[in-house]
Amino acid sequence: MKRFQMKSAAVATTLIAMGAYAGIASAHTQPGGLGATAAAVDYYQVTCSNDGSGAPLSLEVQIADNSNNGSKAIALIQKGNFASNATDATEGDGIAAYGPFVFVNGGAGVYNLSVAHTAAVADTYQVQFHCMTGTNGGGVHTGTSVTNKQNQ
Amino acid sequence: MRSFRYSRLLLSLLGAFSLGAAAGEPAGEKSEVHVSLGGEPAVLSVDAKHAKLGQIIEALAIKAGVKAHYGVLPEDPVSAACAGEDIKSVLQCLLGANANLLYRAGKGAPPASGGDIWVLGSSLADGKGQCTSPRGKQGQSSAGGETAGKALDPAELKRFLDMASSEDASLRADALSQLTAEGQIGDAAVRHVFASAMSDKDPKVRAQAVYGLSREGGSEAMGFIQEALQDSDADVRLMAVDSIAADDANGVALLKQALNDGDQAVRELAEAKMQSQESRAAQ
Repeated sequence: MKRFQMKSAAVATTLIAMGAYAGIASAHTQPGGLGATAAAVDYYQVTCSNDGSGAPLSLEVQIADNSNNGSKAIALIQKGNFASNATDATEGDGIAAYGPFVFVNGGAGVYNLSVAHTAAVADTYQVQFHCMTGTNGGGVHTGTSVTNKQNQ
Repeated sequence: MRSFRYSRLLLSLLGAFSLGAAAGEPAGEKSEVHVSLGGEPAVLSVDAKHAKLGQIIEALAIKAGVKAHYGVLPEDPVSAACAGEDIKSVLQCLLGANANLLYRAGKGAPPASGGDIWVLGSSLADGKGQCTSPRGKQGQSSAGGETAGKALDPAELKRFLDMASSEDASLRADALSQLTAEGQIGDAAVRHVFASAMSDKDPKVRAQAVYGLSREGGSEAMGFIQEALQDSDADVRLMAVDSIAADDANGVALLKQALNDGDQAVRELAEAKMQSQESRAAQ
């Protein structure tokens, strides 16, 4: 069995530092439900900030539509004059089976994220979002926090 | 995901972070990184000698067809041998189980599935890079206070309270939604309105009532959620599940209860929240 040779205790320490961040990036996953009303909208505000990893330049979002019921869940993202929407082409193909990432290059601050659907049936979804230090979701992850403003 | 761990990272703690030349490192040691992909089942493996972490990560990423994202890495060379069924498990072997990794697989078959991997935490000096994890629909995870808003202007509060007693169910629901968003549930008069609304004849209103009351947290909130999980309307039960904070034992118990709901959407959301929480707990 091969042994990992630690050439420098400092390397180990910094590796611990890298791994010891209390935050869990993959925890920026928001499961949710939309009631059986066509106009139901869940509304979140996602705040991008510099947590030491760098100033945010973009927010990336993807959505998984968990309900195979003919009603598509859509995530609309907006900040200032920038907007985009995220969809999941195949609904109900598994929990957390996401559609592609979309990006809004709005920099630091508050992004409006709304989740709506296309029919008057109950929908369940999962939306994932990350603030990144590069445009179009590039760079590294930086400060990301969310507040739910409306839940329908 | 399985990680075939040929080696284990030996760690020791120092009193302070420091980066320096590797002690006892022979001068002019040649760095080597060998990445292979193959076998049945397919395994991604790396054998590195005196190589920088960035070099190792890039070699793995190229082989796996993955785009790697990372910030500042230690400059000191390392030697390691790791293998796994995808790049994330190999990096967990390389960096340790506590490494903060985010992996988004592409469409291909693992381990060469494509996609992206982030090695998180670029600042080594101050250890920052913390993500704030959302707790259900409870808002930010910082301790206390996030659900309590500043006191509304009395006239504005009265307007919402009057709306909450409207003949129009959609206005009643909107009023409760706004009062929740404004963090007014701590107000005694508001709380009374929400508690009464739990038995409103309209399910949209009952749904907003349970959501608002759940924001307070605690055992009383759990009681309201549990009551709502027995509601005759599936949308109310769906909102109840949506309102559960899954990061404590009581929340998990309620989610398990909801897994047996008669409505598919309620069951789906309960399952999704449990999986999401299990995934967070495993990090």
